Amino acid sequence: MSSTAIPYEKNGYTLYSNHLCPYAQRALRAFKAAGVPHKVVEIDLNNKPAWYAQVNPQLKVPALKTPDGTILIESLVVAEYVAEEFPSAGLLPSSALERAQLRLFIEIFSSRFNPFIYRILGTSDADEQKKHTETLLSGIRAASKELQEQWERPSGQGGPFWANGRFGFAEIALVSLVNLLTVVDHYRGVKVPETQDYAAFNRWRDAFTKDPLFTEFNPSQDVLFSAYKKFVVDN
Amino acid sequence: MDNNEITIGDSVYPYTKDGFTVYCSPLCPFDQRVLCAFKVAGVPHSTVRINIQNPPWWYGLLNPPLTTGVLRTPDGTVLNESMAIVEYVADSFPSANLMPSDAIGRAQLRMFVELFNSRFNPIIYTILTASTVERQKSQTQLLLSGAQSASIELEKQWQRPSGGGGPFWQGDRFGFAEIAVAPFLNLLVVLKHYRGMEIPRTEEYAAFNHWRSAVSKDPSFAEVRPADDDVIAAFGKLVI
Repeated sequence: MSSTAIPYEKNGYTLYSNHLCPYAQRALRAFKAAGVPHKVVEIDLNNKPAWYAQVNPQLKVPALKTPDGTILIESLVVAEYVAEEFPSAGLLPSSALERAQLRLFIEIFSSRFNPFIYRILGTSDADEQKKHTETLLSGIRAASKELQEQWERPSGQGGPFWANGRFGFAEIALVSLVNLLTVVDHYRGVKVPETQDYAAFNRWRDAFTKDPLFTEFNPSQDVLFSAYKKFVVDN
Repeated sequence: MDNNEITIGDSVYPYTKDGFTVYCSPLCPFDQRVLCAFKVAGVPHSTVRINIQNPPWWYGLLNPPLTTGVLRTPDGTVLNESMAIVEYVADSFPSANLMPSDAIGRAQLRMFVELFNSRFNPIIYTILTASTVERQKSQTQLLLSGAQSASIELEKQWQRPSGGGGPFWQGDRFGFAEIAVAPFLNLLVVLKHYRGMEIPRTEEYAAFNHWRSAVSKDPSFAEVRPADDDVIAAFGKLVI
């Protein structure tokens, strides 16, 4: 197989992506937010092209080919690369401590939210679903608390976004995963309470849902639910 | 460095005034990352030992999740995730050169660490807790595949100018990659003891083994690694 079989942008950025994948959306939003031109190559995850293994042997999206030919994988690594390579876009906070606090916030979701979305869908056992939902909600409460604390810091500016009054790195990293709440609501009836414990989270979610950086890459509800049907176990 | 106490309402917790305090459990690999980062960067810090099975009453005030490997910074900020803390140390003390300064170099380094975070470190635990021989075997295959991929990445990196022929990710400098992964490489002694599992000495693992050997001899890591017997005993509790 010749390397010319791999589509890419000569002297530019090529993002191998899938418009329905929440992880790939992180990379799409990072490029958009930074205002960096890039070519998007859509990879059909149900029918991956043979050449894609040469781009990413793990066969996952997103993958980024940079102008000098370097391949980067892992959605957060790609998003962080964009933020660091284009600092004038102001996607990351300026101090080491603020960057650490931002990483901690993102990690709350990585450990106590993202996997549980899939686990709730992936079991037909009501007790298991309940257990995973408890963990998910506890992650959301932890995130809500963190948001409240952040909004009191100078960079938080009282919210509703994580920092600087606008859609930034925290949102880039998280909105597509948080939006999967619509999917667990649709298939499992999971809802986020409207109580005080969740108030900051709900305020944040309401704000980012209206932002163009969210809506531009957010699939319609029907398309999203249909795409996630394959994760739903109902035996 | 002196330890001081402050009063928060009518509560008290120990910390170092105007300094860095690490609250840690020395046998925990995640905590070892934090200690190692400070040592390699040469940043003064004090440590407060926390018994994770029986934390002091005040610990929940400092860190409600009650996890260890927690950093209190001089201005009182508390950070409680090992990777975020290691990045913070690298960021705050750039002259320690724990990471490269270019965005691509940093991305490649983070990818390498993420390879271990997803395809190696957690598998060590699943091999130990696997209740059937079949599962032990299948998880072992996964671990070996992770080690092989790491070997390939190391070889690629050593050919780049920044890799300078190894043996570490950044040439002759023990840095971010080693800080993040060394405590987990060290757990291979536990796998050998309880599962008779070893990384083969074949060509596909050559770079991995060369790197692992260099990591095990490094003086900074030597200061935080527990004795093999202690690690083996501590992790014995997980083994089914």
